[in-house]
Amino acid sequence: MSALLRYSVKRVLIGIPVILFVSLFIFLLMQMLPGDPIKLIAGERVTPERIEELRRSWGLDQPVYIQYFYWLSHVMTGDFGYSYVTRLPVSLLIWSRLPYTIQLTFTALVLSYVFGIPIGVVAALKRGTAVDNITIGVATFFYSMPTYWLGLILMLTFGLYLRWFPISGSSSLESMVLPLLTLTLPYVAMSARIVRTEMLEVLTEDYVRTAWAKGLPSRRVILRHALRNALIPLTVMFFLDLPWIIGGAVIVESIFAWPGMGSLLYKSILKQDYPVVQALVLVITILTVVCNILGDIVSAFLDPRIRVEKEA
Amino acid sequence: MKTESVKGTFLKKLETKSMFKLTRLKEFLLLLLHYKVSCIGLCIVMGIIILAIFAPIIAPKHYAEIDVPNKLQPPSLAHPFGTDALGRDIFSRVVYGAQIALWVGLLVVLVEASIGISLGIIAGYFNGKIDKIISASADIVWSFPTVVLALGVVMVLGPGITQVVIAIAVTSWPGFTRITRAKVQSMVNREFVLAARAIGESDLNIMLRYLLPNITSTILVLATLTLPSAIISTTALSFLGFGAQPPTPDWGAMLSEGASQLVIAPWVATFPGIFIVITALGFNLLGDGLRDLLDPKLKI
Amino acid sequence: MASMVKKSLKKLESKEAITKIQAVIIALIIIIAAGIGIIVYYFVLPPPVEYKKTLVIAIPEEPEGLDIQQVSWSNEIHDLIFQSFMNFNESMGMVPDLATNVVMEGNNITIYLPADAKFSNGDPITAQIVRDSIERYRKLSPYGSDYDAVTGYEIIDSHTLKIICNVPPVYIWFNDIPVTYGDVVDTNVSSQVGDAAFNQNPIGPGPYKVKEWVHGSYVLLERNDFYKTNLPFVQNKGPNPYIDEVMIRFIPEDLTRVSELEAGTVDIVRGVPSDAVANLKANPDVTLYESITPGIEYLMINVRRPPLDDVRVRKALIYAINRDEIKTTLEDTVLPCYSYMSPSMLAYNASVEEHASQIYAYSNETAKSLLAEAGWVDTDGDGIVDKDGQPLRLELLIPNDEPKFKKIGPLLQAKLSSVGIDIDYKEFAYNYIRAKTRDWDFDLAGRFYSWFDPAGILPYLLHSTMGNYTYSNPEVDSLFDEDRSTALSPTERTALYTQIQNILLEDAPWVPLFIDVTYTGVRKNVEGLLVMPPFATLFIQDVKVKVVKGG
Repeated sequence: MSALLRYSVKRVLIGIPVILFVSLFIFLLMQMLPGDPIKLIAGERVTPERIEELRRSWGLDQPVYIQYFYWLSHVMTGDFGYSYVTRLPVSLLIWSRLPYTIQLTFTALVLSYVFGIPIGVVAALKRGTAVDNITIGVATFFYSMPTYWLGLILMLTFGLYLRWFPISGSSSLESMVLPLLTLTLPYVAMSARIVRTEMLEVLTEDYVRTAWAKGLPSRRVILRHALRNALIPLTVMFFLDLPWIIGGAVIVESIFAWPGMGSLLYKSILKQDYPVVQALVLVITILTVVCNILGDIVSAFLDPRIRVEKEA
Repeated sequence: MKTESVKGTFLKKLETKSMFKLTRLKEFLLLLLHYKVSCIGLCIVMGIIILAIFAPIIAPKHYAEIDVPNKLQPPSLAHPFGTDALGRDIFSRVVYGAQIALWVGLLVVLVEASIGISLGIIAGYFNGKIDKIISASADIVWSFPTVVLALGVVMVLGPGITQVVIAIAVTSWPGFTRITRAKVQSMVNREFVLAARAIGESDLNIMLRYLLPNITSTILVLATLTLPSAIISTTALSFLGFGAQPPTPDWGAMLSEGASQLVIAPWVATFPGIFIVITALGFNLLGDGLRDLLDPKLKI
Repeated sequence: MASMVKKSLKKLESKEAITKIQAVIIALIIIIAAGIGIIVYYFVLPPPVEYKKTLVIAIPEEPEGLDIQQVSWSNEIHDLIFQSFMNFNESMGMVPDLATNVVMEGNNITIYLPADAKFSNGDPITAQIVRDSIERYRKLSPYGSDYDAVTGYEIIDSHTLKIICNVPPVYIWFNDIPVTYGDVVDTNVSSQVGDAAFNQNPIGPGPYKVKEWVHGSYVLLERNDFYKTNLPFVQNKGPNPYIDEVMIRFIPEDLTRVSELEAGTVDIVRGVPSDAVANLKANPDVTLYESITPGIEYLMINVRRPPLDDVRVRKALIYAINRDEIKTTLEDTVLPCYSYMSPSMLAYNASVEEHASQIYAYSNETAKSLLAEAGWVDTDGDGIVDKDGQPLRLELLIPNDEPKFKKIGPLLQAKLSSVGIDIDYKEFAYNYIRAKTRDWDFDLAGRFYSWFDPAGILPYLLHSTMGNYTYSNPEVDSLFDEDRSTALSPTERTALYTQIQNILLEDAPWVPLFIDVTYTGVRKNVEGLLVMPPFATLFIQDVKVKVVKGG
């Protein structure tokens, strides 16, 4: 157990400088953006003198490194500054939207595994038959479909023509159906494919095929072994997919007006709202690094070879 | 494996039937054709490539030709896919869009592959600290949501197709790195590499002339399978408004233009969307087939 | 017990009690009367009407904040939480709203408040609070310089405030008194809770107050039972008894917003996109209100950057654009515009637009010949004009968050290309484009304005020091200055702005394009709604929303 602990601690220690580095990188990137941010904030009927006064009140007349340390120190306390576009505290914007994103993405991931794993297993068992081919075909089809296209089609059919589900907002449980479907379907396809491939890896070994063909009670053992083989990478994938599905959520949230972090990111980038973008990218980076670390630890836990390998 | 057995029997039949020896290429093509599914993929891909290359001939009108009195016409003989809000012929725009989609997708894959393969070979060959750094960064970049990172990059660089290519390529290279690294690691201790070292070949030479040629088939499969996601990612960015600027007939941009008219003129968004799906599907099917043939153990 | 019953029965049978027959007859009469009553109640009299208690309004964009003194643009929510001292009626005349009267005399403005004026939390609205509120506006608001002319205050009594200025305060009179930005806020509360908290939950005197703000989704308002108004054009001068709550939902997607109106899940929709107008006009359940924006949409030209510093090149741009084509593309939901003001603005002169539309009528040839005059000719036959070996290449910035502008962007590009200009097309958010024009870093930028008083907007765009954009003309500057410092009569003002526009038409710092017409979609079961100029402001004091049975 101590090897696992050592491994975990090492991964966490590596993670912290990564996050710091990325935060500096993002901040500098935002500074490199052309244009004067205060001129972005100032409204229409404003004189140049007033703009200068506003600059002082926003602290934008300080040199860059002071601004960075100011920002970083505030970030440590959870204060991400104020949005250029809405003047609301960024942390408020993020906190109010985070639960919606998590609701959507977490449910999508869980559902896609709940459906994807059985489908993948069935396809692997019935390898070569019509069932398998159709499954792969359909899976490839959904896998090739861009989220924005799927979203628009679902919106058109179920939202506008049939009017079964609402197409925007988060007012009711029903309004989550369409965005959820849009996110889940391609992921079900992907997980089914992966489960099938992983299981096949075991099932097509010669000794396995022989035992299987003989129909011995060891069939069940083989199935369990194959399943376990497939589930290990899947579990790890779960953690690595979490930040990924947030990326997909950007488009889905924007199309369906789901008030999550994704649509906030899109809106902020569109309107050049740098403080919000900075904060969101930082949050997503932290999430990614954390998920990465968790994924590594979990895979090390499940597969002891990794701990040893990485140590060497 | 099924592949082996089918391949084996099929080849035996061919050899007994024909008198000449099958060259590797012929063997390869015949096998490809045998797989119906990848055949479909191949046909689709060929179709799209033809559309792209011969776009100016196939398209009846120029993609930027505005004809306001004829706006939002449903599909007809004159306009097989209808017209959009400015009266432009959607069929022509979709055809030119194929050019853009393929060209941009290819660029992305090329840049991605160059970065990814170089880093992968270096990591796999040298091991040690360099390997650790490259692998760690590859892991982080790979798990970071592409869309978010790409959006960040286009925010700094501004909108435009070139910027989108850079943005997507810079966030997707780990796909190539990991696979290349794994392959190189498995080859590094084989006799031909050890022999090359023994006769004093430089590291660079070994990497370029010994290792690289042996991974070409893998790279081909990977490239074919990465192209559709490159196309989808670039069109996604255009859909969000950050990629191709009007009047460029990028499929993603056309989709977002048509989204607001979805109820009154669904054809504006439907046709570009269908083509995106078909193109992606074609390359995916082809890529799957290639993978089954060339490198079945490849996990994507 | 039984014996008692027997006794009463015997009593009934006696002659003193009413006979059985009579009892039966009475019973029958009662039954018939009841029956007739029921029939009349259900079938003859109209059924009792039920009214919805919550009014749902859908708007395209979430506001920056709810405190009117901290935002740079206001919307329906601010209009409902706050109340102006005066307001505009249909003919843009000023009528009392919160105040019983506001008087401008010499260099002063005097505000007369009713004795029982209260904020939504019951705090009285006094002259002191109005003064404090104005001072807070000057400090916090991006538009704080509105009150630069103010030198002092005189509190005549607890409900009368005199604002003393150093020039006739025409500017404040038009741009702050009848406008939401100038509304009074409860400074007692704002100083207590802090500006950030006040921006989430402000206290004003408007007909509704903030109940809940779910970011990214909606703001829920509840009725302010202390509300009182002096507006002559509303029947109900107090709180609306029918509408308990108003929910303002933010739905940025045009398609979604309109379909919610059609489905009836939303009662009022703002910002109806141009391609939905025809459908909604034909929809029997919807009424469409039109409103001409008090402003124009145009391309700002960087007059300091060659080759745009040559007025002939600038004029060529104006001639190259076909505004009728723009109108058709936008489904007739805009008006072509050749001058610098809109009909729904103060001091508007229709003859200026008349004149401009004649001298600047669309002409591809005139555009080309003007370019040729300036030395730009296509010498190498590539379709792009050039001079001294350099092609004429201009960057066109189009705001991608303005749907109408975004739609006609390619149209503008095509027209400019047809006279030989190579257009580098770029889409950005509006505020980014505006920032670039402020930095003088652009060629052609798509911009627009919306404000009813030309003195309250045009100087910020065209005055050399107040606006600080690339255009600068001392003659125009002095005319703007004159309007800001003298009390002119309406005819004098109109003449002044006619003069300014004539100079602008000659200098051509902008390419005027069109005037936007905004549409508000309202379900037919919403009764009593008033939509007033200049910003199509919603007045819901008299609104009742019938519950439509059967959906």
